[in-house]
Amino acid sequence: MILLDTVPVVALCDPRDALNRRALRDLDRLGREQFVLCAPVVTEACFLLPYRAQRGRLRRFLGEFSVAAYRSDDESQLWLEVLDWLIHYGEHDPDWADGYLAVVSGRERGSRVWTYDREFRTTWRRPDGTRVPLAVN
Amino acid sequence: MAARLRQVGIPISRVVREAIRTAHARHATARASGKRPSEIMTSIYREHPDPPGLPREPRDLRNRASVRRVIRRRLRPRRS
Repeated sequence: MILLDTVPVVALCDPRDALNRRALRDLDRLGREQFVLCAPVVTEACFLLPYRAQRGRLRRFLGEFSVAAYRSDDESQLWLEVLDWLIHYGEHDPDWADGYLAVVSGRERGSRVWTYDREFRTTWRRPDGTRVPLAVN
Repeated sequence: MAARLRQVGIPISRVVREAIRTAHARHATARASGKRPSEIMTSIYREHPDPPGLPREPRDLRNRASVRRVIRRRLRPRRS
């Protein structure tokens, strides 16, 4: 299971973006795996893809690659865990989506996060202190 | 959770079968086209082109601060 972060999703849906070619190369490598999208990530992506054509591409990407929505059995508890994580990393000024991905990564032990954010390598950890497994280098 | 499902009459075997069927259908869809994922994206770009003159948002996705600025600009304004 690959948990998608915002930047690769936006880069894939905006061919003018500087990261588009890199995202396409990574997609060729990962495209047969199960992609999972969390609500905070798709929310951020829609802020960054405001135009009709961009959202049309996002819609097609989700359909073509059968991207599944992340569903938690206990979303309320998940929110509390994300807030705990955000408080823990407060000095680094993380976003809700960062915390959400780190906490979900801790819950879904076989998952990897597809992100281009440096902090996932250098700073963010799962709630139990272990590294967040990443899908790309 | 499994016990709760059984209590309300939902057999676990059915849940597992449905999950397997869904996962298999997903993989079958991806394999069926025989195209590389990047080729699928190229088709998507062709079918959903940017209109001429689309403004280019000044942003750098590699820079988290730049991403945040875009998001903050687009947050719904407060209505009084």
